[in-house]
Amino acid sequence: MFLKFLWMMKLTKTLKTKKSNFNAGELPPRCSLNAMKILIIEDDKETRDYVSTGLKEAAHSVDLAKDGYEGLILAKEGTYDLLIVDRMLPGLDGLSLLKTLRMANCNTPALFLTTMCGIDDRVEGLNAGADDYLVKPFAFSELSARVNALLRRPRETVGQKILQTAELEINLLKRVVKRNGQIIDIQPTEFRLLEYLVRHAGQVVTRTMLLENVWDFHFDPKTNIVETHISRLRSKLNTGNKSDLIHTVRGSGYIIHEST
Amino acid sequence: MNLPNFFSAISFKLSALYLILFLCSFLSIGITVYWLTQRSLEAQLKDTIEAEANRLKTEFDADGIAELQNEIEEVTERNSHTLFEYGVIDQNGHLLAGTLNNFQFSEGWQLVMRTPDSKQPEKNKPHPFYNRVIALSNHIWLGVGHDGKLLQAAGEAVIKAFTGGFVLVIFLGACGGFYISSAFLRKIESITKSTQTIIAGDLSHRLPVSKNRDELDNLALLLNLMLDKISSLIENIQQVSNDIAHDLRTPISHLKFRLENALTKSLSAEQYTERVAFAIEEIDTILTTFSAMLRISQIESGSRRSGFKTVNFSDIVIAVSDALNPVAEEQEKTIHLAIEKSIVLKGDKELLTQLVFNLLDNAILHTPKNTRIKISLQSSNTHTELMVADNGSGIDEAYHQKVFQRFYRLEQSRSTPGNGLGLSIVAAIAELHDGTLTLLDNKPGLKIILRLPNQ
Repeated sequence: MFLKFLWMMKLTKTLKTKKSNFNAGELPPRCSLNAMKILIIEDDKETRDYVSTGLKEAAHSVDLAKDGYEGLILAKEGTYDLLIVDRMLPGLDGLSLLKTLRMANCNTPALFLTTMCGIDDRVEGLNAGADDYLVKPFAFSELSARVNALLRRPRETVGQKILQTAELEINLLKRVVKRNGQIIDIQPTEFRLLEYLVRHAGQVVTRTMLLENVWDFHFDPKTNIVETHISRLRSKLNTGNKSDLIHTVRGSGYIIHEST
Repeated sequence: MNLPNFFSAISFKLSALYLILFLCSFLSIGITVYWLTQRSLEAQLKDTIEAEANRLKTEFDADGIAELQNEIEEVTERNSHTLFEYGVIDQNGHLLAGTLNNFQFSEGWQLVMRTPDSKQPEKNKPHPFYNRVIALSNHIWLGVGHDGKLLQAAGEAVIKAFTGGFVLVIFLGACGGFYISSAFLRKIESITKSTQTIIAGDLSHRLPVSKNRDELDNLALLLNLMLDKISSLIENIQQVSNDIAHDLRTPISHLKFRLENALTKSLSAEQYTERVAFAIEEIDTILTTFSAMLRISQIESGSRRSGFKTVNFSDIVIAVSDALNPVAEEQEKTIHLAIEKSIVLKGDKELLTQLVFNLLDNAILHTPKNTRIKISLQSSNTHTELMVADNGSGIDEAYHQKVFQRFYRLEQSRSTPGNGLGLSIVAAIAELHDGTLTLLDNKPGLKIILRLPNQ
């Protein structure tokens, strides 16, 4: 018990030095929309380096924690835009860490990393207060898409009736889609698919993200239903020889933005 | 069977405890019998003495001291064998009649121990002597006494009998305890030996069960059932690891060849990128297989059962067919729905979705163009029945059970992508929900029926 206390003291100290270092650094937090401050709590060095290198390349500033207690102390500072938390951590596991943070009213968005054998981890993670989850091993493009989705999460859109992007207008109440003012007849599933894409306009949305959020499918289907549905939606949006709005990002997913 | 083992055996302890309890009760019976005989014999003796003393007092009251002296002399002479002893003493201690002279001048019973002065030392055993003293007048005291030899003998007989019995009980108890213990230990011993054989690796070995069907046999039967279950699980695991070894080695070695090939040849940057992309794709396939396997074993472990909730099965089937309908259309196949609305059951929504998805996906994937796929869902009082039927080429009846085996792929479907785990997952999910899967010939085509219990 006493040892643990000493250890915590030591941690707090390192934390303080880290913080001051950071303040002196040339990258102040929230300097732009793209550069976000992300904390990675992960004990596996390989994964940690893989994730942090990628995120740094995307111009985010990254802090690292090797175990649950260190992660908790850093996260409690509350200056992060996003937490990436591994399920299995030495000391304090990911679930308890998230629960503790949420109980302490720390609402920093959190992405939960689970192993592929733990099929119950997803529900547990979301219940504990995670905003999204990702099954290891993952492609960096998948992580990056989810990180972006979390960072640029649209602020609460309750009461918002109309979504607009590019030439598209989606009326959420009337369930009507218009392109350049022209009504497009689409199916309910296609509507949900389009709504999700538009809500994340300008961001890459992966196949898995669509499966989870549009269809609520939490398994890997053999058949690529996303591709089929996207191509149908695409052709419907493109009636009248219009240019593509939904673009395929090779190896990652789809993105909706103004055609150039 | 070694000795320390024997003494620490539960059966031995139990029989020892029984023996001690039995001895205690035996002892208390002995004490009671002894006490009762002594009391009744003593009462009888005292009655006789009392009667004799009263007779002599009446004699004295009627005819005086002289007549009493006569009577005593007469009685002593006539009935020397009665062993009554008399004594009449005046206040100065003079013996007026009889032989008893050393008693106190107070009315009541006086008990003394006498040691006869005999020549045979073994007969010189002290014995009790009962003496009844009565005041005949103010100055004269009458004492009538009788020895308690009979009483003593009876007591000794009782003690002797019970001591003998005691020894016999100890002997029989010890023998019985030993017999029971050793029989019990023999049984335990044989169970232990069998267990050791099993631990040593012979999983086909079973515990011995005798015809008696006692508690130990019942336990052994139960353990045998457990062993059956364990060995079938182990067989399953062995099967799975063989499957993994076999079915993953192929893609991994392909991958290795390609990478080695890429390394030895000088390729352009573009070609390298292509090879790397291919390698990643291959690894993804392997990972998918892995996660499918892990998923199956997690489902089979039954841990998801605790998370069962009421789910709308109709909605699930509709959602899945909705998701797959464009795929079917793309492949020029049609899906026809006959779904009873709002069928609810207890289950895992995510897994049931996957079950329906895999069934329908299979029907789309493994059938020729222009196939009609029919999905029907209906519920009776006891069961919910989901049917996925197609009029495609069907499956030979000989393979109906094999398709649920892990990694099993029919010859006709080897060309289509897949890992041979889709229907294994279906089978595992069905079993988790206590459901049954039946494959039927749809003439032509295949009909798969899933029956789920409603409660």
